[in-house]
Amino acid sequence: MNDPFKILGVSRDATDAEIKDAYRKLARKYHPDNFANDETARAMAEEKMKEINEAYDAVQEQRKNGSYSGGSDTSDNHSKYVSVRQYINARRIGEADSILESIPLNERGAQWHFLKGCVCASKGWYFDAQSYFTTACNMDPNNAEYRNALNNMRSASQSYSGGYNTSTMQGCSGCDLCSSLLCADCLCELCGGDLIACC
Amino acid sequence: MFGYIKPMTSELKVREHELYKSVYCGLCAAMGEHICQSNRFTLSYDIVFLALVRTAMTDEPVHVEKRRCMVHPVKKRNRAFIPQALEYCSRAAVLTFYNIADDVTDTKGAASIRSRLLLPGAKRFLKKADSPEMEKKCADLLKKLSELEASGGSLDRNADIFGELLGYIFSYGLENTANYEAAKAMGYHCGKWIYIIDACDDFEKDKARGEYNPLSSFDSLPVEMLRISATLELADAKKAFDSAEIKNQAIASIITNILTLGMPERQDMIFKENEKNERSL
Repeated sequence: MNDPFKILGVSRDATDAEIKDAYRKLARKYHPDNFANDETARAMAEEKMKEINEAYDAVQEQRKNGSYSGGSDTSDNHSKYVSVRQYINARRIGEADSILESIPLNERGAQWHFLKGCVCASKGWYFDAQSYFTTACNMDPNNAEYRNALNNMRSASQSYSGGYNTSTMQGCSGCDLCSSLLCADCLCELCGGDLIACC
Repeated sequence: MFGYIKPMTSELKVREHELYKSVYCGLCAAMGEHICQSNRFTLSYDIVFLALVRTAMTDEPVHVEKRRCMVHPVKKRNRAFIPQALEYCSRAAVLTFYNIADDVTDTKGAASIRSRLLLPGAKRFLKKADSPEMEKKCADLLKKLSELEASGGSLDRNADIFGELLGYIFSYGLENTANYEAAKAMGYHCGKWIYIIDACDDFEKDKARGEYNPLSSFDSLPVEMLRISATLELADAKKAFDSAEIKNQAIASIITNILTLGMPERQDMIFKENEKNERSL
């Protein structure tokens, strides 16, 4: 199939509204009913209409999956992503990174940002890793793998700092509660009443 | 250097605190002996941490004695004698402090690190420190760092270089010992932690003055992300420390206190301050 974005006449970073608008205009222009008098023109219009519908569906599908890349490159980037994952698992971070860098800017979708985040995390570049994971999550909010990556970093940091720490004690401890009640009792007694009968 | 690396004293045992203070005292005296008397006043907690790590990693015996000194002439104080580790640290301190005194061009980024490390009379001390190999390596790395900062590199990229510098300083001379890798990794992660924390600490100030800060692309500090990054650096440093073979348990427990309590406390303090500033704006 040809590039669906080209068929609709929009750029890859067009908004959803722009795409819908472009689709409507084309659909109006090539609607077979406009060519009711000419049989051959009508057949061509039907053909064109089919192509437009397919392109629109393809774009919708891609946007839903969070991948902003075109139809043709997903397949050959896919094999690149598979080898990137293999390299990361084998701890060959330099090779993984150079494959990722070879993918052009406009084809970098959610998966690219996720894998780039993994590369950064394995290097110990935690700040960059979080930025990439966050971008991946924003591009594809429904992907559990991307969200888990971010959550894992958070829980790893919490398990380190969540230890014994006196300085962050907050709220009302058992001691606070007892002393508050005793104070309240004293104040009540001053006014002639009594809160705790035994003292 | 920066003074971010301190123990949480309330959680130290009394004898550990006493040992910590005596190492401080010993280092101060060693600086006076090896470099110059006026150099003693530039001592910071970070160098004491370096001294503790070096002592633990090399397993050099620690001998403590009560001594008087010119800073505290009245009362005798405990002073630790750890000849090799302390001599190394006083030289390393001078290198990092005074290095590259002559090529400070502005007060941005790496240069501001330098200017904070910098005190008058630098060149004379450098000669005394007398380790040309180390001096060159430190100068190269700091030059690389300022180039990266000038080209607007990311926080992690810059921190990586600074970490490499400290990794080198922590592990220098231990090349053929069992703890070389551990010392290097500890220095690396502590260096990255310092760089991140320093960037956060200076964020408001640098923004107000329009000076370089590795986080200047952010309108407000992404505290949650930075907290996670800094904490994971500490976790890595702790992991490296745990992998080392250490016999001196007293020093080991001071270092553990610093890594697990002192540094997180410091980090929380800086983040809280930033959150407070945020609210008041």
